[in-house]
Amino acid sequence: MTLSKLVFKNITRRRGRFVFTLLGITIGIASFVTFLSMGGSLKSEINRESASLGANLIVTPIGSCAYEQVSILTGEILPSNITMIDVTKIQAIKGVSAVPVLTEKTAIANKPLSVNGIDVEKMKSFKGWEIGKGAYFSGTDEAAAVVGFAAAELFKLDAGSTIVVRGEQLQVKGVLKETGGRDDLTVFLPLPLAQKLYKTGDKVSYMAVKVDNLAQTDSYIQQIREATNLGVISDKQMLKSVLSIVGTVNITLQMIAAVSVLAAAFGIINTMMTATYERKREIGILQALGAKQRTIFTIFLLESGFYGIIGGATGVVLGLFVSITAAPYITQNAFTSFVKGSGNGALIDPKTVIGSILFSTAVAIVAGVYPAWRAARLSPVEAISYE
Amino acid sequence: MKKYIYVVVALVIGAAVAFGMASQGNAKVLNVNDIGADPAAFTGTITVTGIMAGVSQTDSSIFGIMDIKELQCKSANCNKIFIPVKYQGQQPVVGDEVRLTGNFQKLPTGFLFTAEQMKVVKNHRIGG
Repeated sequence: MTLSKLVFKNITRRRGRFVFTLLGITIGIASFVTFLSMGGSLKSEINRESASLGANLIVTPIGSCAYEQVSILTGEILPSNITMIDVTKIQAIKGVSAVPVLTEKTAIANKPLSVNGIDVEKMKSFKGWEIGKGAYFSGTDEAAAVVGFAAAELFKLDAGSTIVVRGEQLQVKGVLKETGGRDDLTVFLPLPLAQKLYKTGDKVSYMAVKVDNLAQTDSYIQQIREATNLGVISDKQMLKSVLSIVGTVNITLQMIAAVSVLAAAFGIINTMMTATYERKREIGILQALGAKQRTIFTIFLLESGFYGIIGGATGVVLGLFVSITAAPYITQNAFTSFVKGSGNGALIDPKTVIGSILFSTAVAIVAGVYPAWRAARLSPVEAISYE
Repeated sequence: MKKYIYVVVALVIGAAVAFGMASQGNAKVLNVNDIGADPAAFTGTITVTGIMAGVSQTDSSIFGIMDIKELQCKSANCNKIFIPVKYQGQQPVVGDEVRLTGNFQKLPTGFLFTAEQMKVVKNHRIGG
């Protein structure tokens, strides 16, 4: 009998113990993979949302914190503290293209939906939107709405449909083509109409700015600050700031997962220790047949490693399944709201799959060292005389 | 071997059902920032979660709730939307994270959320 056959036979001899030990490491690795996949998805979603914002600079009220920067990416409501005078001042700076945005919310069938008040002409060219159905706004004074692609799908809206925003019935004039960003889940209104409906006066929430020369970004930031006394951050600064918050969340999630894997490792130690005691006689026979301590140590270590490989593989499958199915439900806070709707194949990262199986195997092998050492150091007399 | 597979399958199904039930319970809970800007858009009975931020000076059965996210934001520009809530039972204290089930009523002064049920989830120890 080869070593591998002996290892497999020993492991599956006690099937119940095998299944439940395997389940321990499977669940541990599954939770590890779930959190790792979600964390990776969170980062890629943030990068995607930041790219779809299409701005080099973001102008916010001075003193805005990182949580408000998250809100820009998630489409949450922001304070409306920037006046149209400030907007005009920024737009007058040479070399910048600036668009004001008022962020608000409404609901259709009790489901919340982002509303953006925009400068209709400037925003269309700023974002490069294309109309999928119907038509775009014909002017700033129009009392109508244009909806994002996903919002139209979700609420079954089409050109000519009617929506109610703050008690006012508005006709959907058109549906945008899919952008792949937050705009897909947003209702757009002309800025004066949005300001009137939400009673914000002449104020907006933030401004998205594109600059002509990226090498002079710092100079543009300085000019905007001098002209308006508002806060300005670059898209890279905002991304760094948001990702640092998300990084903290990721580390916490991974630590929780590490505890599960650690618990599973103790399960393996327990199983292997029991096997050592139960198979003393078998160890004795192996020794009598000439097996060296190193061989016995290897047998037990391979058994432990086998749990790691199989548990790792099943854990990865279970973890990816959970992360894909659970992701759309995790929408209750600003950090994880990025994950919504991202349950797709992009979650399956080969590095995560291979890394998790290797991690599981390594943990299982380390967990098996002590039981294997105990088995190997049994004296032949003690082992063979065990009843 | 079969009986162990049955046990494992039963455990997995149990976990899936528990997860499904837990997810279903949370799916309809709305945040203050979701509803505060356009309360008229929400009809019928809804469930809202928020932080109790203060009591009305004219009616002690009315208190205001703010969004949970406002606990994180420390800058002066924080977008604090308060929803007035009327609840006849035992009143929560400032900092209580509450989950309220009820509906909006339109009054001449604005919208009032009339809660039929309230559950205090935990206290966040704000305001001393």
